[in-house]
Amino acid sequence: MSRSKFANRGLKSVWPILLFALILGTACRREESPSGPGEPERLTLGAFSVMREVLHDGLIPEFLRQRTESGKKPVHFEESYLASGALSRAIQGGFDADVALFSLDPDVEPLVKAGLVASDWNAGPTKGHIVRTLVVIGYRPGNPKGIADWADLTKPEVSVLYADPKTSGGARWNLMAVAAGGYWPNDVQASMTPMNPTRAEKLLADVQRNVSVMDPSGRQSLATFLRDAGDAILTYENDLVQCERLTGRPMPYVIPYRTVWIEIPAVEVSATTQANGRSELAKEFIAFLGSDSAKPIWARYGFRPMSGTGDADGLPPVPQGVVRIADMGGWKRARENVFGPEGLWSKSFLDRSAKPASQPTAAPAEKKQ
Amino acid sequence: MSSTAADRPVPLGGLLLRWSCLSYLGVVVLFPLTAVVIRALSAGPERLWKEIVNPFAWHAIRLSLTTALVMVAISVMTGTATAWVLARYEFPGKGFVNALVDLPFAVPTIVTGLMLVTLFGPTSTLGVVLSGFGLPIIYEQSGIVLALLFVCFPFVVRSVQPVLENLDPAEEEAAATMGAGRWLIFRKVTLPSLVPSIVSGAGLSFSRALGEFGSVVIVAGNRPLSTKTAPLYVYGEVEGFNVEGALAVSLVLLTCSLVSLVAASKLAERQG
Repeated sequence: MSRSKFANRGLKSVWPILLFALILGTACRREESPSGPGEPERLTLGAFSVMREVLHDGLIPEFLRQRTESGKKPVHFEESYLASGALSRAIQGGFDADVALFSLDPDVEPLVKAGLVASDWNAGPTKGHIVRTLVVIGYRPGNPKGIADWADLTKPEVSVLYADPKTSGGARWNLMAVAAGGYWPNDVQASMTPMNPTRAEKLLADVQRNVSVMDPSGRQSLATFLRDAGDAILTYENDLVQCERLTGRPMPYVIPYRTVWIEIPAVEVSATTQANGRSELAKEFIAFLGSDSAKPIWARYGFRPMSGTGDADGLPPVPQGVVRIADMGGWKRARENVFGPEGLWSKSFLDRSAKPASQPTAAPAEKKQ
Repeated sequence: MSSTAADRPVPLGGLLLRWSCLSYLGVVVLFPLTAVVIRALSAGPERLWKEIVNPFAWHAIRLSLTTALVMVAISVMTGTATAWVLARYEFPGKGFVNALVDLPFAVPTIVTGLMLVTLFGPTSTLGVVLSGFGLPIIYEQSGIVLALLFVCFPFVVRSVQPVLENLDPAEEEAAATMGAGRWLIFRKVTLPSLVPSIVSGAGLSFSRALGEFGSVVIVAGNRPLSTKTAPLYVYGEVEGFNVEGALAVSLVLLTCSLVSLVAASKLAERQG
């Protein structure tokens, strides 16, 4: 009796929806005309969301300016910003990006496997990366909780935010940095010392215990921090620089002594560029992103160059103890060790929720690594 | 010249309507659901089982079921009461209140989440007071129930209200003339005729709550083994490339929804 109202309404709404779908279908069928001789060249750019401002407001205008200066044809950019993993899946699903920027290397791998990106994309001196940033700890102005290093995040009264590593590539980097802080104490040299997984698991578990919110993405995590939740946030240095610029609110942060480099890959999706004859332009744009003339723009948005120590104008000095993912065995092993089903991060939860008796069961798992 | 219903040709319009509706239902509802089920089952029962009993998944499923049940228990009472007030009393601004009831359907659920965080969040006045009493809501399991209460509010009200409005007042009046008190009349005379609609509202709310994502992702805090509900878990597994894990948990959610909806409609039928 009560349902009939719903049912009637549902029935009537069928026709407008069908009609709408029909109109939409015809509207979307317009084909893009290929660029003629007089028209500007086109380049479709896919990038992870964080890149929006620096690309759209900083780098693309500079690239266009340089091209005009050297008398080349103008370029019409089609920009699309998605979460890194979603972008990777979109390209696999047929999104025809010519150039793609991801937040982490593993998002490139499926594209290589699918034959969309050349397998030697990471052969160059910077291993396919154009720019980098650091995992840092943001805190409240005045640093009321006295946060200077990872250990400070384990204090009982500190509430910590980071995104969910399941859904956020950025969060995986963030937690990898905590793991690095656990693998190697500050007083050793990382390259000379074997990793200490027990210490890393303890640090990860102790930090996780203080986490109050794990948002799906890094941006949402930052938004939660801006809503005054949490005393500290694990995030990218560039994110905080950017946030300060956009909100006008001071976003102080500290670079922990033992943190990791976040290296950002840019790839030419050769399957697309070859089909569209844009390979040369794609290569030119990627080269520009890694060039010296791009450096000051990157730095303004909180990014550091691949070359040298990574120090950049206007950004705090890079500590000596920063490690690369390669130092932790490369992405595959580092990720498996921390985020795999038997990984330190997953284990730190289960050990915590289980009774102390679960200690022996956790031991054999460690051997597998 | 006499013709029975059987001889009469079925009007073409009716036939067309019937079939187009059924095929619409098939395309819009059944196809996607079947696709999910087939993809899930293709992983094999062993794999599915492993994914479901995985402590993270299992906790998420249990959390979704319990928060939905708690919400339904509260909603059944508040929803029936609201329907009662709307059906039985006249008061200024009733039209506005009546429209307000449906608003939770119109608000994007992510806005619901943000709204609740602003109101009850750790730094809001209300949040500070509640935390002082040791009752933090946002980023805790109670926050999930609160979000579900908002999102599912209209279901029970809108199921019960029309029934109440169409109820024959004669029975209640008869009971009153025989000296029954108002509470007794409600329990013995009115409530029994409301049960089917309450049950159907409860079934709808429960199913809706099991799948709720937008508001919960904002208010829950999303902590594994603590405040991560099944839809949040599914999202995490999809993003983490563990499609089987996502499908396995989705299958559990779908089954629970289907069972609750079918059970509610059977129960309502028997009672009605």
